[in-house]
Amino acid sequence: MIQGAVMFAVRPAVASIDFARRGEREMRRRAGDGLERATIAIIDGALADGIADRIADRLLAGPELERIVAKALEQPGVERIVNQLIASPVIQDAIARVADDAIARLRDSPAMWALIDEIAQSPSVSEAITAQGYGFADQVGDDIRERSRHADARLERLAWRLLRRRSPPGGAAPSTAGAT
Amino acid sequence: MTEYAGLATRTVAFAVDAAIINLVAWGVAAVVALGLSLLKVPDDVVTVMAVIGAVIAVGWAISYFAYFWSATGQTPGDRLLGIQVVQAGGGEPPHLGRAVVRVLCLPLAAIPLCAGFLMILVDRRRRALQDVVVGTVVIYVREPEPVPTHVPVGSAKALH
Repeated sequence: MIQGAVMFAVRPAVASIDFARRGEREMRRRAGDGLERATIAIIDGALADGIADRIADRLLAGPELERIVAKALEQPGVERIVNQLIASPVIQDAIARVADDAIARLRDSPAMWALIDEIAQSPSVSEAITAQGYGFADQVGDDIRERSRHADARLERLAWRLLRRRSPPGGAAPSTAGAT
Repeated sequence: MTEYAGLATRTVAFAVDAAIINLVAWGVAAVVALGLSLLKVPDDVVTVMAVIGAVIAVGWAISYFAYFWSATGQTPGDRLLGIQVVQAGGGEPPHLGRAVVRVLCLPLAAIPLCAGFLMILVDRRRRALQDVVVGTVVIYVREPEPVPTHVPVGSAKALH
């Protein structure tokens, strides 16, 4: 009974507190809306006056942007992001499309073929191809010569080892070099 | 200082020369055989032509070695392997007569189980039987200077 009396007495107070809270929330919401509208209006005004352009020009002309970019590039995360971007299928597809497009355009370009003909007929290219051919032949010849000379020495050592076993000691090894 | 060519190098050079000689001989023989196949030739004539062909083939092989040895001291095989046949005394290529005798000595060197060639392994100047008979030695030729491979491609003049 006492509890019922207390509840009866407190109820108006609780109702008034709820009313006050609702009013506070409504006030805050309206104030926020007004602040947002005011901010947007200020930004619109600044854009209309060209302040944003001036800020962008100032940033691009000054050293700050370079410093910011340099600092950003020093971060390890940037490299990671760039690697992920490069490895992403979207970028890969884009690169492949660009390359295909460029190759197709080059193939259709008469100027490109004229340039290729010009280069192919140039004496320097002919000389380079000739030099390359001689170089390869020389390389093969050198290799054969070197191997055969090693084989000469090996065979000779083997022969003399065999002879020393069967012939009396004192026989000198053959001289592989001397005056003619 | 002269270095004398050893058995392996000389064998490879000889194999290259033998390949060239045989390729040419087989090519000529194939052309002749194709030509004869179109004609009706009696068997006796074919036999005679085969004998003549064999004689020509032997002559061709002898001429090949004799010509190259007496001209420059190097057959194509020798040139590939970088060796040269020279007279033991002077370093000049052998004369044509000596070159022919040298060729004819090749079978003599081969007959006793190639002992005439195996002399190379034990002779101080790496001479085979044919070298001892005609007084020649086979030496390594000094390596030629490498061909320059750098070409100034970037210059504008080079394109015209």
